[in-house]
Amino acid sequence: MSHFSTIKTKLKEAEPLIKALNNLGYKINKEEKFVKGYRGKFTAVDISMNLPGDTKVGFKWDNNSNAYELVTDLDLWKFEIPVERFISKVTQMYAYQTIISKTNEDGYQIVEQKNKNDGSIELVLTKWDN
Amino acid sequence: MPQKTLRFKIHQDGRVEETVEGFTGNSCNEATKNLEDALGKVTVKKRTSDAFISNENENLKQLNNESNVTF
Repeated sequence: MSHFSTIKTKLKEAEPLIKALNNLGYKINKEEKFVKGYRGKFTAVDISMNLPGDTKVGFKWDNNSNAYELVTDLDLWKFEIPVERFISKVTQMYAYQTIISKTNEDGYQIVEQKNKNDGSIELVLTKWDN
Repeated sequence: MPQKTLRFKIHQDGRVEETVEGFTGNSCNEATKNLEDALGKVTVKKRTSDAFISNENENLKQLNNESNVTF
């Protein structure tokens, strides 16, 4: 039996999220634990990032969605890409990091990896039965 | 000694399409449960037979088109 699934990625674990941010070239700020977010209110975050200029971005664990949610002040967003694009990039890289680490634990190896023209990443992993 | 294969297409928006091949019975579900739990929420899941996989690329395209309808 084989199956085909479509999965909506949620930022559920800190480790692949931090790896994803590092991989995209963003630095984690270990001291900054508050980010100016919605309506300018300072919000405590679990993961805080350094971005150029006044833009402050963090991720806070949300019990309702059971995932990390972005915290930032959109009025201060002076970053090179729109916030939606930023979230997409982080989510895509999070999915990549999670797949690599979980399949590696199960003994799979990457046999193919391609960056496609539509911006997607294709990965093929295999394992031989013992 | 069958080979187990996992194929992923990670879209720009973070949506992941996963195809699992080479498993017997329901073991394919066990094989990816941990990964799917860590990744997020499964929105579409379809079983495919091994005969179905023989012409995989064409069928995968067809599957993609079908699954896109649900979004």
